[in-house]
Amino acid sequence: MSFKDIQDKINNKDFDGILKYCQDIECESSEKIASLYGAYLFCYLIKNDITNARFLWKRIPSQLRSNESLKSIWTLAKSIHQFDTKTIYTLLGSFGAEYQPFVVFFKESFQNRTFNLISNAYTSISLSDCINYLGISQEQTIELAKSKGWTFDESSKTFTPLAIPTTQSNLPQTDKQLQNLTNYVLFLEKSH
Amino acid sequence: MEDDMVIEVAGSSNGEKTTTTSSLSSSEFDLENYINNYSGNTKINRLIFIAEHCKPLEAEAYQMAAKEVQKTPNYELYKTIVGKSHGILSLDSAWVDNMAKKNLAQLDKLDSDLNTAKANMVKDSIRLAQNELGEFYYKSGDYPNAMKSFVRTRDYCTTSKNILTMCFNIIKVGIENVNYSHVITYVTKAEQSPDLDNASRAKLNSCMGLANLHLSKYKPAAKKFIETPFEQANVFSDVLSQQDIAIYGGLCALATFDRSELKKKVIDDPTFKQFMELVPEVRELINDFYNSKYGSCLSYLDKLKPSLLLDVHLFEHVEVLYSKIRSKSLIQYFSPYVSVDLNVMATAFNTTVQSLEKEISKLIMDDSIQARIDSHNKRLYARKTDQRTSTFEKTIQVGNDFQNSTNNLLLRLEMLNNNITTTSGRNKNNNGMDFEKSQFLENFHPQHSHFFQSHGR
Amino acid sequence: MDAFVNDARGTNLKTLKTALAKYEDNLERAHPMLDNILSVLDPKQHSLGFLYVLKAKVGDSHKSNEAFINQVALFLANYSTEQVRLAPALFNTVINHYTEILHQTGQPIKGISGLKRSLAALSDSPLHILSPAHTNFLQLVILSKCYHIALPLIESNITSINPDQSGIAIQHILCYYYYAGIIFTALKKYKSAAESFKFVFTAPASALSAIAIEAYKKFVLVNLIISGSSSGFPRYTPPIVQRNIKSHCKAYTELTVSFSSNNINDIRQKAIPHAEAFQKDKNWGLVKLAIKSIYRRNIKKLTQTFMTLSIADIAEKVDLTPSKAEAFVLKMIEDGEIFASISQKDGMVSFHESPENFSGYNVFSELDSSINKVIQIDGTVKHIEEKLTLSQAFLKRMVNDRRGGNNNMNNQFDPEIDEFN
Repeated sequence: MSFKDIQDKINNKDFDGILKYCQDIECESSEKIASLYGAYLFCYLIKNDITNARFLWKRIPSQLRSNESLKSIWTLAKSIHQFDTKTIYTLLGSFGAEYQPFVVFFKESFQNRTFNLISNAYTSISLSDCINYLGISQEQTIELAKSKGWTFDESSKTFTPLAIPTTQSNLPQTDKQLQNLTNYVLFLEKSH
Repeated sequence: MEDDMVIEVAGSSNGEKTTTTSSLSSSEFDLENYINNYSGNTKINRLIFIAEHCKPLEAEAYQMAAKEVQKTPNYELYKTIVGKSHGILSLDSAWVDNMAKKNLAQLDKLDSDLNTAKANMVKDSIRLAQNELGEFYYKSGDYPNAMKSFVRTRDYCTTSKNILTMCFNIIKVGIENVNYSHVITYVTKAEQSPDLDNASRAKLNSCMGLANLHLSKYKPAAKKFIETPFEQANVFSDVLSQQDIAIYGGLCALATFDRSELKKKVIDDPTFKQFMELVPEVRELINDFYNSKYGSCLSYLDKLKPSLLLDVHLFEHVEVLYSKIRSKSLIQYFSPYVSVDLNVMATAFNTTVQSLEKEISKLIMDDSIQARIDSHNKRLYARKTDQRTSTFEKTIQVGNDFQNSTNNLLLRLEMLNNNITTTSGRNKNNNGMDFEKSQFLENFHPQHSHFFQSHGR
Repeated sequence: MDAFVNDARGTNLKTLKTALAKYEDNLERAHPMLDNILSVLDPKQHSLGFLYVLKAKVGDSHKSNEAFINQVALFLANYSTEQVRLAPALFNTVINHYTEILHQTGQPIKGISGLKRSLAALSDSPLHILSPAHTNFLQLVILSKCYHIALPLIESNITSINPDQSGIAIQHILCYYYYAGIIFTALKKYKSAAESFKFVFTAPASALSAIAIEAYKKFVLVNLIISGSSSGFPRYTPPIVQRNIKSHCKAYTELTVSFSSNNINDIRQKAIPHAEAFQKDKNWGLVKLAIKSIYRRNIKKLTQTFMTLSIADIAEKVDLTPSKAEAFVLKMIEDGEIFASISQKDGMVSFHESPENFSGYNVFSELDSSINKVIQIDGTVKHIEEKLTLSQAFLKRMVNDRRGGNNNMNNQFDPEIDEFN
């Protein structure tokens, strides 16, 4: 299986674009979409949209659902929902070459998301859980954690994560703001 | 400890089956002294209640009850008491037979008195005859007939004094018969009477208090009891005693009044003070509560509890009132603090940190205490609401609600304008819709049946 | 039939409808020839003629469903709005039949793009003015499980209908909102779902309909998922609905009552006797979701009650195993439902207040867009008010009211009424 129609987008890592393309094509032609279901489903997982992934799985014709790759992607979706990281990382190693761009991108974003979650949700976490959540080796985990400013207690084998502060976006340009305010005042004036 | 007694009470005011067990040593409860505060039917009923709910007092209470009931014509009740007494009493069948005969004769006489009075058409003698008959029924324990007779005096009342008598008779029957809607109606009626003396006012207030207590309206109950004028003599011994007023009023007030009300209307009230003098424990525990000595207050309450559970009117409400008082003291204890050590607080309330934590978490969840518990360090912290944040949250909420409701309103308006509404089949118009069970729904449901299935986590 | 084709090729819009209407019966009797006629008509140039033929095919029980589906699809890809609006009833019949056939033949997804195009056929502003096709569109979306496709439509604010133009009737409106509620529910947008279901049973009514009952049931369950309690009837709910609807929904009312305990085992036990009723209504899945939502709400309550609490205590208080409790807390942190941090070292969870301080750009732009929407709504309301206060019915009513209040005014006002008449 390969994804001829969307190869450009894959090369550009434009997964939003792939998703949009698949959504459009799905209603137009059942033949064209048949070969794209794997990519389609994977895009939802990359977006962490399990709800829509589930409905897509149900839309896939039953004769196609027996496809090994599709089945693996669906198992992956369920594992994400259950936050069963062990299964997630094992599954990711099982995909064929055509899925590699998706696997790589998904893995990276999933690891990032999980790392951020741990940073904010734990004030201390065991090394083993951390390895489990991130799906990388012990050395890599310690190295990554230290690079992000976590401290590691050798004796108890626990990390003290560093919370990531939420970034504040800036206010918009002032003249636009001013115009809005003018409109509000006008509106209030008019009402009286 | 063999004279410890176990009191079991089934059924709380909520109608749930709960069992309260409490121990009381008989030296702490002087039955004779207690029961001499009462007269009439309530005396007998209270004795039976105690006998049924307190094993160690059973024999004494049944004996006294039998003695009291034999002063009345109510031989049926006598038989019941003897039957219930587990062999403590033996039946005096000669008295029963004698009383049965006497009652028949008495009833005949009262009936013919009434007929004579009716024949003579003298209003007041008809009223008196009806009253006599009612009184006889009341004493015999036939409350429905007693009620009928007393209500019938109504047409023959000529003075406001007569009306008052009628009201009190009906109230008396209503209370014994646990018919509190009658009590409330006739208390209200009696209150309109122009010549109420203090004694009557005392009776009416305490009866209204009692009715509210039974309806679990504790605050109005407290108010009525507290407003009861103090009389030297025990004017209402066939319903309740002055000690009862102190206890009922004090507990209800403690459970429902805020601090300033408690000071003004209870502690500093010259009349209610007199009542409280009769039951010093109540006075002390209310003072302790007001002075924030919660440990002492709660231990007074614990000591009082076993005897309160033997009170025919109060026993159903003891648990509710106690938990209200306890919650209030917890809330009041914490109110001046920014943070409190739970260990210290637990000591003040004679409890463990674990159960205190549970109690407080309940109070926080129902919004009675604005605080959060640091369970790790066992501290309680006051919670300050951020006005700015809550204002923002509210504003956004109100804005969204307004948009939703206005949009829907516009569409509904448009529908009405075009006369598009759901109508019944009979006057169906061309735009109307009529479906007892619409076709498409039936067709449609199976199709989407699966999608509400949760995929379990 | 040549005459029909000739007339169908006519270009004068004013006479087209009358020219074609007279063939309606003939077309109904000529089922075998209809496919041939369609092949010589252009769906764009001769939309109305095309539509007449399609309408005639609706009554043909021997037609090839596949051919019909393709013909309607072709029509919907090309139709001329101008011509279609000459015969809204025909259009609605065809669309409805098309939906039905797609449902029967199990290929609802095929009709989605066509119906999406059909939304504008009888509605000047498909996102704000409802037409019967809207309802058919949602129906196909649900049947095909392509819920995401309907989202832009159902998230827009419908505020108007135009029955003269679209032939819309009460069942279209009620079903539209019922289906919208179902779609929102499927996509877990429960608040919007509750709003949609609410519209169904609060719509103007002088009788209780089955759909109002079904919508109310789902409304109750969705509210249980959101908040664990039910919200009462809005003030404007028709009295007949308020009075009677609950007697049709006993299982739901009892479920709601049981939720006040927050005790998950207790609630589960109380739901079991009603399982059959819930299953019959196809609501069992929602009931299960509602019960499951109790975990989250109980944990959330704990965060408001405690600053710190051990995982073991959390597990005990919400009736989960410690490892599941930790997973739950983690998931809720991820979803932004609670703000907490777990310390595995001492097994404690610290709960924090929401870090939202309402000063960032996001809040600013949210407020901004809200204000703008309110200003828009204000405009619409004013417009409608103007329209109403100038309407004949309103003025008559005003005059009558005043006349009742002051008889002397009679003569002064009568001439003015005549002018309006």
